Formats: sequence, C-alpha cells, structure tokens
Amino acid sequence: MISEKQVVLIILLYLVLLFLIASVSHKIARKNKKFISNPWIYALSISVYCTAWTYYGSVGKAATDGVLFITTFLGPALFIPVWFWLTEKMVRISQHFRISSLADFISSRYGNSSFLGGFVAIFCIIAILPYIAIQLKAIGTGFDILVGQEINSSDISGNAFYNDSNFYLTGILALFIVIFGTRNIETATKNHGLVSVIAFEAIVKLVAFLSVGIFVCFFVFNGVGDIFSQAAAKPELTELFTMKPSQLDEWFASLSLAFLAVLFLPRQFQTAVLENNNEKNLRKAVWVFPLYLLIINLFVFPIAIGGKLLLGSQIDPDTFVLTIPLVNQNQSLAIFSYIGGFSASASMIMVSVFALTNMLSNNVVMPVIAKRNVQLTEISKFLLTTRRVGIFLLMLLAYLYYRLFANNYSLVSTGLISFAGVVQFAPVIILGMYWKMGNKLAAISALTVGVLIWVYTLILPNLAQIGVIPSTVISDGLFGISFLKPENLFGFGNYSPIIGCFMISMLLNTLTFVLVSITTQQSETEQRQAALFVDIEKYLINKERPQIWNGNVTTDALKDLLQRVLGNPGADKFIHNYQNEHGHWQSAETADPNMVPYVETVLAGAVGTASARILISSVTEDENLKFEDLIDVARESKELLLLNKKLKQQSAELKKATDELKEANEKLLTLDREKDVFISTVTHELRTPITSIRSFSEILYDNEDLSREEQADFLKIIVRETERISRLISQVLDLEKLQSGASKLEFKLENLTQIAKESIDSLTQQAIEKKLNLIYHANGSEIFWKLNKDRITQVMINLLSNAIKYHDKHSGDINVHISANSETATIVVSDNGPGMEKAYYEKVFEKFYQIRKKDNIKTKGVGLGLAITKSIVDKHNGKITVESEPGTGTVISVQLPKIN
Amino acid sequence: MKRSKLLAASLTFLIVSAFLISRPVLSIVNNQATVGSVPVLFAFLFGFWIIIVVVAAFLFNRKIDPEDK
Repeated sequence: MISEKQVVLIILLYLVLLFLIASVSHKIARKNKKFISNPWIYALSISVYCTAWTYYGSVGKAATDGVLFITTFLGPALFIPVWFWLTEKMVRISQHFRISSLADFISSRYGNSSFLGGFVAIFCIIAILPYIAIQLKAIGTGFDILVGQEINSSDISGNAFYNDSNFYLTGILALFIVIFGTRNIETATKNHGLVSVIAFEAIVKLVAFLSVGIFVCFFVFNGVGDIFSQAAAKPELTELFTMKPSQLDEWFASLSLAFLAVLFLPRQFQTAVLENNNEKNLRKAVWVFPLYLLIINLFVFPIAIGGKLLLGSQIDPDTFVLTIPLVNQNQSLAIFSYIGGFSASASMIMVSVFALTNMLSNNVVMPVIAKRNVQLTEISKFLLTTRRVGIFLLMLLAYLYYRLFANNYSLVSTGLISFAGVVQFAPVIILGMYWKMGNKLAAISALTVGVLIWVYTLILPNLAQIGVIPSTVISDGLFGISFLKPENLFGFGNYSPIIGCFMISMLLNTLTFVLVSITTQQSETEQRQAALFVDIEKYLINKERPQIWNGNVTTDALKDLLQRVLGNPGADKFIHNYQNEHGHWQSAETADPNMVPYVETVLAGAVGTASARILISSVTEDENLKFEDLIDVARESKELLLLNKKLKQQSAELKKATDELKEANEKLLTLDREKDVFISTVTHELRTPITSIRSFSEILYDNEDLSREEQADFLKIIVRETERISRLISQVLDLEKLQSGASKLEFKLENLTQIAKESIDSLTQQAIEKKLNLIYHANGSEIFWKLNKDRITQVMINLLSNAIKYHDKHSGDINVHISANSETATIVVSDNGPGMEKAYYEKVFEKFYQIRKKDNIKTKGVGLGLAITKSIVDKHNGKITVESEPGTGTVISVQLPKIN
Repeated sequence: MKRSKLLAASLTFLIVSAFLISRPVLSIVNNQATVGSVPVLFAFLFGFWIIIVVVAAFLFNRKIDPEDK
C-alpha cells in the first residue's frame, strides 16, 4: 500500500520539477531565439487537448460505448488540413492586432465591441469552469485510489476542506500560474515557461499511458490478441467491437464537434494561436499533433477491454489505468500512471485558468474601468493584481464546484458539455474571417441563440437533477409542450443530448448570424475591422500600418497613456521601437496618423483590443473615419502589392540583362587578349625572315667581290625567306577566313579513299628523305563521303607533314587508316615518333603553338597547321582528338559526321 | 507548391477521408466483428489514421510558395 505522505511527497517533487523547467525555459528563451520558436515545443503544447478526459475518461468511454470514444481524437486528425488553414489565419490576425484571448479576437473582429468581448469571456468561464473542476476531481480520485481510500462522494463533500489534499494542490497550481503567467503586463507576449511545462507534461502523460498499455497487453495478458480473443468469448464485450446504428448516426456530428472544439477551446486557442512564435511551426504541428493523438489512443481499447476482463463491472472503468497496475501489485507503475494523469489535468488547468483570467481582466474588468473613466495612475499594477486575484478566484470557484457538484458527473460528459458550449463561437469566428458582411449585432444574436440552446438542452436537465428547477420541465417540456422538451428539442430526441444540442445550436446559430448580417448595417468601425480581418494577408505584405485614423492628439498624451498601462520601461521600449521604424517621436507635437494605431495595438497586447480602443478614445479627439478612407487604404495596399510585383519582375529582367552584358564583356576581353597575342606572334614570325632577307641583301649590296656561288647561296636564302613570309601570310589569311566565317565551304560527295591516297603520294618524297614509311591501310571498298575536297586534302597533308616533321627516328612508320559507318567517317594518322605529354593535347591546336624537339630546335613552320586543321574539321561539324604517350608515338583521329 | 494547389490537395484529401469513414463504408467494416483476434473496425480506423498523419506530413512540409497565382 502506498501511504498518503509518499504520494504527496512525489507530487510535490514533481511540481518542483515543473517549476524548475518553467524557470530554466524562461531564462533560455530570453537569450536563445531558436528555443523560443522550437516547433517541437509548439507541436507538443497543442496536445494540452488531451486532458484527464483522455487519460482516464477515454478508457471509461471505450469500456461502455466501444469505438465511439475515438471520435474526440479522430475528428481533429481528420480535419487537420482545415485546422492548418484556419489556425494560420488566426495566428496572422492575432499577431497583427496583438490579440490577447479568444474573447479579444471576437471583440476585435466586430468593431472592438467591449460588450461582445465581455459576453464571450463570461460564457467561456461558465462553460469551462466545470471542466476544470472535473480535472481536480480526477486528481483527487486518483489520489484516493492510490492510497487505497474508498471513493465516496459524501466523503469528499463531508470532509473539511483543510483535510483535503486537493485544496492544497489547487493552491499550488494557482501559485504556479501566477508566477509563470503574470510576469508581464502584456498578455500578447509569449509565455515560454508555461508552454515548455505543457510540452514536458505532454511527454510525461504519453509515456505514462503507453507504459500502462504495454503493461496490460504484454504483462497482464499475452498480447493484444489474447485480450481480444478472451473478449470474443463474452457477448457483452463483443458488442463493443462494432458500432450500434445510433452511434453510426452520430458519427459525423461527433467528429465535427471534436474538430471545432480543438479550434475554439480557450486553452487550444491560447497554445495554438496566441503562443505561436513562428507560422512555420504549424507545418510541424500539422502532423505531430494527429500523430500524438494516434499514439495516445493506441492502447485505450486494449486497456478498456483488459480492465473489463480483469475487474468486471464492479470497478469504474474511468479508473482502470490506476487500478489495473494496483491490482497486479505494480505500485511504481501505478504512481507513474498517476503522475501521467496529474500532468494531463494540471496542464489543462494551468492553460485554461491562464486564458480565462486574461479574458476576465481584459474583457470584463478593464472595459468597465476604462468606460467609467476611473483615474488609475498605474493601470499596469492594477491589471496585474486583477489577474493574480482572478487566478486564485477561478481556481477557488473550480474547487468549490468540484466539492459540491463534480462527483455527480463523469469526465467525458462534463467535457462534452464544455465542447458543445465553445463550438458556439465557430460561426462568428470562421465566417468573421472570410465574410466581410458579418456584423456585431449578428454576432451577439447568433451567440445568444447558441448559448440559450446550450443552456436549455444541456444545463437545464442537470439543474433539474439537483432540484434547482422543477423536473416537469424536463419530462413534459416547457409549458407542457413536448416539442420543447430539453432532451427532445425540435424532435432531435433520437440523438444523444450532446449531439442533439450541437446540431440544433449550430444550425440556428449560423442561420441567425447570416440572416441578421444580411438585414442589418455595420458601423464604420465594424466595416474597417471586417476588411482588415478578411484581407489580413494584404496588410501583412505592406508592413507599414495603414493610416486609418483621423483625429487630434499630442505625443505626450500618448506617451502618458503608455506609461500608465505598461509602466515607464515598457512605454520607453515601445516608443524606441516606433522611433526605429519611423524615425521620429518628438515631445509636445501633434501625433501623426501612424502613432495612434500603433499605440492602440501596443495597448491591446496588454489590456485587450476593446479596452485599448476605449483608452485611446479617452485621450484623443476622434473624427469619424469614413468607409471610403478604408477603401483607399485597401486600394493603396493593392497598388503597393502590384507595384512590388512589377518591381520584382523588372529587377529580374535587369539582372538577366546584366548577366548577359557581363558574359559578352568577358568574351570581348578574351578576344582582345587573343588579338594581342596574335599580333605579337605574327610580327615576331615576320620579323625573323625579314631580318634575314635584309642582312643577306646588305651583304650582297656591300660586297661586290663575292663569288657567284656565294651570291647564289645568299639569293637562295632570300628567296626561301620570302617564301616563308608568303606562306605565313597565306596561312594567317586562311585561318582568318575560316574562323571569321567568311569562307563558306561547299560539300560534295567525294572519294575519301582517293583523297587519302593522293595526299600520301604528294608527301611520299618527303617521307623517303627521312627514311619513313607512309603506309595506307585499305579498309575494303572505297569510301564516298560528303565533304569539301580541297579542305580535307589540306587536313590530310597537314597531319601527314606534321607526322613527318616531328618524327625523330629514321626508318619509322606513319600509318593512315580510313573507315566509315552510317553516321561517321574516320581518318586516323598514327606514328611511332616521339609522342607528347597529355598537357599538350589541347595546346597543339592553338595558333602559333609549336612543340619544341628534344634538342630544343624549333621546327620548320609557323604553328598554324593544326589550328587550321581544327577549324576545317569544325566547319564539317566534326571532331579532332589526340592520343599520345611520350616515346611511343601519336594518334590523331578526325571524325566527320554525315552531312545531309 | 503553390498555396492554391496545396488547398486543392488538402480539400481532396479531406473529401476522400470523409468518404472512407462515411456511414456506408463503416457499415461494411462494421459487419465483421473480429478477424484473427483483432476487432476489424478498430484496425480500420487506426490504419486510416496513420494514412492521415503521413499525408498531412507530406502535403504540408513541402515548400509553400506564398504567391497564390
């Protein structure tokens, strides 16, 4: 048996751990921005959806109603794409307007209506308080089971509160929320400590629940199959494997109810929308959240069936996750399971109370103070005190509800009543974000209808049960009209009360909203807010705040207001931010139109949008803003958007043109460099023979006594050098013609074999002089190919004369191969000469490049032969390649493609 | 992926999902209580759920083009 002291000590240690996590996270978040926008922390914090209802109640629901328990979790998973789109927009709106709560969001959309904000806030408190109380009940019941006490409602309400451990736990939780939830006056500021604790508790409750599931399936039973096999033998349990026709009827309504609840429960709105630091985190949450729901539900059914098999019907199935480990003498698992359940309850309580307190202070208390023009010198201190008192007050009310009523209701039924309550906000929020015509009167009317149906169908039967109203209203209907029986309102009695209420209220709520919106007019403020909400993306693109204020106020009055609400440091921070963005905030000047909306938004982050409007109005002399002004703002934004788009396009075109110019310039520079090298090489090549001609001419001129033989030798040299100059000029002109494109080649079908043979014949004498063998390798029949005969002959002669010229052996071989297939004709000239390094493969085709022989003697020629050869091959769209090894010879291949 | 395409893909996904767990399809699954000791409805819904998670991860973690043309 586990003693009370042990359990209390463990809970206290766990709470200390939570305090530490919150404190450390808060410190880290101030220094490390990456930690603040961690997508995993965000995604896990949304699982605050899984409360004690999930932890204990799902098992109970599965044990009594079968698979239907799954709708609460499958609903949000099924509609997850819609959740993404809606939440994304809500995040954008909330960040733009510095929205501080769900009530603030609705109030802001409908013209900053303080009445609407107060209405939503009070209704939220009424709808959620029992849900919080039921979490306290779960903590208390779990505690009693763990320490082995009898669970009896009279025991709880009969005991003095100071003997109830839950009373102290409630106080500690309230203290926790005060410490980590009211550090800052600005409610729009993120609460990193609180969110980190929620994410941590999400992991704890998941691991604890999975541990119990694994224990039940694999330690108490022999696997999941064993549980279901044993259950299959019991007809009362096999019923749970299928859905009854009535459950099938309610299937979609149950899924929809859960989906809407996941959007509009105050704690969900707080974690998913208001604590969102980065829109991108939604992309992680969009799959992590449904995955979390899936994992935490995997063992619900096996635990429920296992518990039924093991404990029968005597034990409340809501307690199976604790009682199964206890019955099987596994106390440590039972304690861990209790910590998991405690985490589920505590996280829900903390976030819900925090969200409700913000609503209470910003949407109920603050508008009253602001409207009555109560002169508070330090609104910040007053607000923080209100919130702190509010937290203790709400926790106390929840505790009282738990002591007085909670034992009469199950976790699931209380939770579902809250669900059915908060979904009443769905039409006013969803339509409000996408339909500009929705107005304040329509929102108030729709919410009133929805809330009345909720109270009538779900709350009245409970009030009758405890004797507050006569039971005849329930049994016979209001005024005895059976059509008005709360549990059979308008003939929806075939459905369960929750689903009946959900369907009727959604239908009438939406209908009222649409009808009233169509038939009534919006005020100018409502029109402005409607346009801003629906077209929020437009205003976010243009980061400048639209100038939508006309009026007169001094900067000092605005500063004073900021200081009263935020205190001096807070006010200075925001004024400094404004100066950074706009560059001016001079004292005793008339405020410019940007300042007032800026200050209003800053104030909204602390006191709510409605109160901010009232406070701003108290210091300014507003002029009514015409709707046309708003249209101008929208038009201006649209024009800016178009201009931005056009500029982007022009910038891209400009960049493209710049790149092209850059490329052309680089090409020109390369050509210029090549031209310089070319001129320098040509002049060098010309100067050598000219020098020689001049020298020998001078000798002939100055020495008349030279013998005729000597004169003949000198004249021979002069003629040879002149031929050299002539050859050089011809080759340069030839190359220029080929490369400039001035020379257009004509292609005809020619006998390539014959060209090769003729070329060999013309060089045979030279080869013989160097004792080289020129060998032609015939390859079958003659090859006819479309080409330019003169030029290809030039190619053959160039290749062969190079091979002869560079051959350093006497009695070497030079081989010529000609072949062709359907696509290509190939000429290969190979020799067994000196060869060359790989580094020269490309260089040999460069103009004026010549490889020096071993003895460093320059060869005859100017180094244009291979450059011309390559140009000719290029003109044939062909390819010329070199393969060579020093000492073994060189192979040059020319490939000529088929020309059509 | 353009936002309009993502929206179309997620709506298609939603419609297909809604069909898969609609009353007529569920009724077919509901007729068979267990196969090999596993409740068929339980297995069907969880299998479907896993597909939701995978598709959501695939769809929403592609690069979203903010310009909805």
